[in-house]
Amino acid sequence: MREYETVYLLKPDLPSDQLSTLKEKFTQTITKGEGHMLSQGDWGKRKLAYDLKKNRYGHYIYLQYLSTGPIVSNLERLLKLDDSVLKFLTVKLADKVDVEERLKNLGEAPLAPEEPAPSRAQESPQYRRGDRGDRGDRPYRDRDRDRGEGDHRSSPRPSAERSPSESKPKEKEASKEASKEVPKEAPTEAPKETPKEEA
Amino acid sequence: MRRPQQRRKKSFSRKKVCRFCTDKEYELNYKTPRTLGYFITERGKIIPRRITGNCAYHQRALTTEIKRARTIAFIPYTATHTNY
Repeated sequence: MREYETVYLLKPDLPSDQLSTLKEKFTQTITKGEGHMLSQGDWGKRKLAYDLKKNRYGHYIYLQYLSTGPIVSNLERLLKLDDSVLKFLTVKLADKVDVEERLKNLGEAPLAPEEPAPSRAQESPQYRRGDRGDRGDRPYRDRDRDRGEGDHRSSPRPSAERSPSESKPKEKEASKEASKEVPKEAPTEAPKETPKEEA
Repeated sequence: MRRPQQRRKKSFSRKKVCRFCTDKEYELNYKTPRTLGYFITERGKIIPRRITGNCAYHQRALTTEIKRARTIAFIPYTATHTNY
């Protein structure tokens, strides 16, 4: 005997009586063929990560049981044949289970339904890299600099020692500021003044 | 003309540790899409070990769980499931 679990997805809009008969049908395939049900869970309607047969939602049902290989293949065959089953997944949990021992410790409740699927936007920035791998650190020179005018690579950081050609952008900025301030008082004069200063 | 001022490239390397090794309670299971979500990109790809810092053993386990979660629509295969 092996321990298995099966999750299967039913169409979301099945009437309740049909739902219960289907559930009954699948559990019976296990119990009839000398398998043992351990737990059952109904996870209810949940949103799917992708559409299945044009359904956005699916009704999740969970089974945990002890059985042998042929029973599982029979169950999977029935799941495949049924039109209202959207998908299913069977996982082997343990090999060579001692049936009586396992049935004694049956106290486990059926699994509680999970939280909704995670949002695709990751919370941690570490993982928000898109799909290209790690490209290493960016060189410092094009990072967050105030790019004066013209070629930003040669644009100086504000510091005392600069060659005259390089200090020009600063002056321009200063003159701009001046031109902004002046118009409040005398709008006509200000624009004319600034070019003179530079020359 | 390199300026001596230019800061040297800092290479930060925080030590990465396997999430599953450090926290034994941290569940690795296809039924917990919330935790699996940390190890896939926005497009649904599995994030490599070199970035997450998982150990080889747990990365292998994680991969199978992610693939299981995909088959029962807990996690997307891709960001855009279009039908052509």
